[in-house]
Amino acid sequence: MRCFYSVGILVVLLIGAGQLSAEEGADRDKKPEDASRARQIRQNDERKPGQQRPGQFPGGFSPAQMVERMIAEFDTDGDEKLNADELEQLFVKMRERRGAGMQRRPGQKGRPSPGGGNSTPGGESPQRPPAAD
Amino acid sequence: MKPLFTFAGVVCVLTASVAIGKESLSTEELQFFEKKIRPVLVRECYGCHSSSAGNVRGGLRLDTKERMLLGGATGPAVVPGDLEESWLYNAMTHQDYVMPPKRKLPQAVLDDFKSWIEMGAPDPRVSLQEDVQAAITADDIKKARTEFWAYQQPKRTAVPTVKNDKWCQNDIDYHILSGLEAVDLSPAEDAEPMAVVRRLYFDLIGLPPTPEEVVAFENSWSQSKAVAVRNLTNNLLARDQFGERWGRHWLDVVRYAESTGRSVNMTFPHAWRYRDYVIDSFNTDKPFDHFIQEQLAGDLLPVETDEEWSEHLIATTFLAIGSKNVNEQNRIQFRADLIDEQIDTTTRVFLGTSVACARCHDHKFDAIPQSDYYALAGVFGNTETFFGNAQSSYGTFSGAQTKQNSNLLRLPVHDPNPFDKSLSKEELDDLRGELQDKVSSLSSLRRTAGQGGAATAQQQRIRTLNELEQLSGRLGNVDENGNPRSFTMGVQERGTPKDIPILVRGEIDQPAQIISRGFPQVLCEEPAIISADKSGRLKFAQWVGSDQNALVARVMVNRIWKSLVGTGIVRSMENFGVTGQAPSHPDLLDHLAVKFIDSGWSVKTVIREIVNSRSYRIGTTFSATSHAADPDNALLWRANQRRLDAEVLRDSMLAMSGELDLRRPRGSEVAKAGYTRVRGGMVGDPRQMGREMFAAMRSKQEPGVGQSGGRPQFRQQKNREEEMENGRAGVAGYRGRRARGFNPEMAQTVMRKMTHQLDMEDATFRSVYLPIVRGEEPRALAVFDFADSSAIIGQRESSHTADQALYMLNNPFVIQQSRNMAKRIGRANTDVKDRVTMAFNLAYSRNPSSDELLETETFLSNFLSSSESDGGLAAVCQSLFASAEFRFVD
Repeated sequence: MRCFYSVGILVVLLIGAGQLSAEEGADRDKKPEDASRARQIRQNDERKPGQQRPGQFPGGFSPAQMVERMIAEFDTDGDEKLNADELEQLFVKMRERRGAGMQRRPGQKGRPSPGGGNSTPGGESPQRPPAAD
Repeated sequence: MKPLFTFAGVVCVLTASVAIGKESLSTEELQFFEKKIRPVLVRECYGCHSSSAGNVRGGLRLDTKERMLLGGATGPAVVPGDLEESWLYNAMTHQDYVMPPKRKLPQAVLDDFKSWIEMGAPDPRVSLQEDVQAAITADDIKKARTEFWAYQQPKRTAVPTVKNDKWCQNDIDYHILSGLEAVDLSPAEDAEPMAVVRRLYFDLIGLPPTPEEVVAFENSWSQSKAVAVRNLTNNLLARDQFGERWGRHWLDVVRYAESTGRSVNMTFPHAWRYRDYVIDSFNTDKPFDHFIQEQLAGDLLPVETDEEWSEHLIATTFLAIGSKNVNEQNRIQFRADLIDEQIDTTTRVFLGTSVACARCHDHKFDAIPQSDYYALAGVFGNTETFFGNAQSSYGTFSGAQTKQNSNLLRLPVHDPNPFDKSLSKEELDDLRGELQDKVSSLSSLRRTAGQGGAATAQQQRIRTLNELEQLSGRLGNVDENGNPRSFTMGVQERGTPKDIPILVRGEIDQPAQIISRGFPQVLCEEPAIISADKSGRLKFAQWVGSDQNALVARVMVNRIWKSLVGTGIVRSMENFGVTGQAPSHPDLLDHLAVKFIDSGWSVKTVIREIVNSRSYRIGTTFSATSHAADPDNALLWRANQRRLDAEVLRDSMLAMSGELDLRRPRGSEVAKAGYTRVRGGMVGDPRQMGREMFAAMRSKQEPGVGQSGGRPQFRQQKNREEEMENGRAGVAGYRGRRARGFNPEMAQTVMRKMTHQLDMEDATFRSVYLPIVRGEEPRALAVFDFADSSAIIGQRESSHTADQALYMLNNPFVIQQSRNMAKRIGRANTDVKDRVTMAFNLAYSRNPSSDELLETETFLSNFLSSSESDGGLAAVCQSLFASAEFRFVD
């Protein structure tokens, strides 16, 4: 019975794959999820032992690499640790660079914060409207 | 023949579509897109950013040219010719974003996209999304605008002719009497002076008159009724308590509250500034048109001074205090809901029109197509709302259940929250160190989460995140020297204004055609013209706060009429549309609206006009004939008997007991607690609160209380032995706790204080200053139909329920005020008769009848007093509080 089910599933999968190929040819705009999901599964399966799942760390850095970069960039006193000041600098830099969910770069860049408010330290300075005529 | 035409038409449309899509593309551009760009988009992007992707990430779709140029939450994905402004390229090259999220595309592909954007992003694709077609046509809108009464400008009409014109005191009376005479009714006789003076006091300042004030009014009344009312009105309108009473009416309407509400109820520690702004605005009789403009666009109005600027910024809190689901996971959804809430409140509060119905479909009854909603949503589209907590330079740490947090606006003047304390350098360093430790522990929790104890690690992570949020907020509240900063809620404009698309059925991932920014067409004589570089919000505020629209003056005078008479001329306060109720006196409504505008939008002028009318001072006498003809009293043949509002009841008890403190408290209990989550009726950390309260109570205890002799270790050992012998761990544990200083009475008191923290039963200031936390309104207000602070309440319910009676009989606040009132009376009089007379005058503004006096004296003589000598009198006072006569105004 189990064998029968396995064969059935295999057949269904094959038919599905065949249909997918046909759809790829028929309509270029209607196929990406399945293909990318399959590709992702393949990549995951092919990774070597100990190797991180591709893309798990944005930019391709492992935690160890990220720590190295942080230490190199922000550890100003050379003790291979980040104290409060250095950590603050790290956060400021992150916010400037990435928005960290709230900050925009000058020129309206950066990911806007939810609900609109951003995260300028110490509150957002309002823009002064023009003086009355 | 017909099919041929149809086929030809389809061919023409298709040809035209293709031509439109490709008319400006050269063959090279077309080939470049088809070979280099489209395959990458399909392969790498459509999975999450196309119509077939389900919940589109970031609101960004890349499967049509229009949607790609429009972009998502962060702005246009592609700006032709501008690499720097094109988010798509930014993300592909892993600058500020990382897309695709799994890896970086080959350099050759990136170069192709660079070339493509630089050549102007030629794109032959045609949108597959069908436009949303409105069922409401331009003709429907025009017809409604020209025919429906509410969309016509208020008319300046002559007063109607009446038979009994001697009865009339001012123009209002002609309108009222005309309506009554038309159905052969006549108004009731004037009320007794005692009733009129109570009506004036409660209506204008929300407090009862003192016995001396009643006597003074009665004397004046005997000389001239009109002069007596006029003088007292002017006197009351000039008092600060007027703003507190009428400001509260406004706070009902604008759904004022000091927390977000919903499942994760976070506080608004700076909402009290808006409360005070509203009260001050009513006291200074700020022109109502300015009042509107400041609330809708105070951040954009011209200013001369920092003080004026601050006031305007605080006014925009109106747009920020709505209830919010801060636990919403989808940022785009949260933002759409936020704008929807702002539109709904703005249109219903000021215009008496529900535009928000058109978020998902054309309005079912009013001539408001769905496109009108999105035209207005575009006006609010680049408005950022500040409602959360200031952050430190360490950034925002979203609590586990506060995904949608927000910053605050910094006030231009130095006016910090009164409860924010300065931090010393040591305290600052400690906070920073603590924050650093928490960050370290958070990262270690992430690393160890998978190694067993995942649930525990997750709990710790949630706790740490919440603590980080609090710590960062505390650091953000002070400057680099540790001095507290001044903040307010409010709004600001950020980014380039842009038109937004209609969302099919209001779904954020189903955008259709783009709609130009504008105002509801049916309310505008001429279509609003908004320049491309402006959001249109300032223009909208100036249009709402003006006589250019037919509704705003009518809506406001109707609110004023309701607050003085008991019901509105239009009874559906927030619905002046087709399904709303027609005005009972349309000419009177227009008369008051015109008067309001002519007076420079003076609320006090309209109030003065109404209370000086004869119609205002008629009695509540019942007439069977009139009742048969007009059972709802829509024509106002008698005054409406009204139950006092919740605040008036509480304030009156305090006033009668002599405990009322008329000074305005600065801030509120919520401001004191700071930015925190509300749980179980408490704001702040329950453990911390409990510790502090126990410590405070222990310090007040006499030495030795709660302490028993013997060394603690010995006592614990003895308890353990008892436990072993008796097998009653609970008793032994209790004894142990008792021995360690645990006092059950004290614990009960602390528990009550904590769970009733927001009831503030010990407070003696006016009720308008009590903390209004959504879902946790003070018991003294909630039990008497206080306004639902999550809704726009133009008219409160007025119920008479058993729990109101039980509250009056058992609540500690009522009992305490009864005792205070008894003490006050006891101090002033020694004779029982005088005491009873004073009690009745304080409560009812009249002397007791002979029967009442006799019964009360008998009650007092028979009362089995407790330890307090004035226990009987306190019981009398409490009975007066609980009586219907106290709770109602004639």
